[in-house]
Amino acid sequence: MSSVGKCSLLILQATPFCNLKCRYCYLPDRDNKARMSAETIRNTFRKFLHPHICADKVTICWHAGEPLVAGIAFYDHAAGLCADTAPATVTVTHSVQTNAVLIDDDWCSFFKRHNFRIGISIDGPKRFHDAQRKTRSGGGTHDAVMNGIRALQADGIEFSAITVLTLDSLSAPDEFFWFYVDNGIRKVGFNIEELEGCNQRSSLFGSGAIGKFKEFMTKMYSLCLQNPGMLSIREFAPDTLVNQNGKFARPANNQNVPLEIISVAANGDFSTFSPELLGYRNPEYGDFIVGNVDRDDVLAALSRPMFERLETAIRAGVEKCRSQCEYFPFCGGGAPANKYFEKGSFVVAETDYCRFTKKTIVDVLLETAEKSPSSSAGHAMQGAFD
Amino acid sequence: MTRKPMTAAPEEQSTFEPPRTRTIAGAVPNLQERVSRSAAALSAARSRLGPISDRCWDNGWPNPWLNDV
Repeated sequence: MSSVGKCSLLILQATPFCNLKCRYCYLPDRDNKARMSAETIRNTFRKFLHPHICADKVTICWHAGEPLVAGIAFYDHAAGLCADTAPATVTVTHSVQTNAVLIDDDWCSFFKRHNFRIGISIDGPKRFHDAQRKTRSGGGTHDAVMNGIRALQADGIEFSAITVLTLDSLSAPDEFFWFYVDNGIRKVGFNIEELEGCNQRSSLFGSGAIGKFKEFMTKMYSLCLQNPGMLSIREFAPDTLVNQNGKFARPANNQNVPLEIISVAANGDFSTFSPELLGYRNPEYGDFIVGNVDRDDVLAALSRPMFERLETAIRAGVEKCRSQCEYFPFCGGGAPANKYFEKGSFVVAETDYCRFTKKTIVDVLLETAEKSPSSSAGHAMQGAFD
Repeated sequence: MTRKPMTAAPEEQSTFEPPRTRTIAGAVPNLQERVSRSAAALSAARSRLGPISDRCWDNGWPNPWLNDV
């Protein structure tokens, strides 16, 4: 192995179970009600919150299933174990990515007690959200999510939102923008419906939707610029694009560096690189599991042949991106999971995921800037085309 | 096993040589040149958008992986 990073994002699956049945979900095991044991939690913290393994600041993100179904007592205990285990030199922040339907006053008290960061999954206005994010009996969930959001707001708890865009949503950027603003949702990240895991089709891929996606994001960017301070959109956080020297300034891609992201399943199995790989099987890479926190030494597990093959393939894929793609400095080599799920190999460069979430975003920011009066591009370009 | 704290920033690593197609009108600037030429406008837009809180994810908002959730 050439190099490993230090873990800054530790994704923990309290349970694979989810109380919803969203149309595009990629998780393979969401009927499984298993819960991470106290012993596995303790071993996870002992092994991964170690100064040799983790960075000075680590975010623990409870995710991959609906984390809140594990219950408040589970997290009270886990937070206590974490506080007892983490070295003084490591600052740990807990976060949770939740569908919000279980959030009530008791959860709000818990979030405040342990200073949890909250990410809510909501797909914008009710008519779009309810078409995708459904109960297990097929009903809409928007009203329940909004109740959860209002509980957070009543307690003064800040949160961000993640919205998955599908083909239908791309026609309504104004409706989305004002929905967030009118409901006090101040921070949003837009994901796309991906071809990933057990979600074998995307309404966005192969349908000519990328032009509509670009129009949607261009309009969103325009609305943000016209209404400053009302809504922060993750894709326009443009430390992403340019640094003080006028060069691309995207941070390194932590999905491509071993150990920078570690995912631990409820049964203690752990993987690295893209978290979405955990739980899938492949003839060449087994189940993408590097080891188990209850049985294995972390660094020894990284010496196993399967992991060596996986890392070699992912690194080769990054090299393809580096040599073939003008947008490489912006993204650092793509997302291994999207390469694998879209193309069946890690040793590829461009994916549909790249075209939407990396290339199009750069194009929107850049083309908007080039139309701006403060851009020198117009004059320079004029000279170039004389 | 060699252990390194971090890979170098991607901008220092790119080996991509952009195509320099010529038209009757002249050279087409590559992406990096376009970014450099629009740096002032990009910075102005960034300032107009205001601060983007890292309250939700301590190790940077946006967290690159959460882009992919």
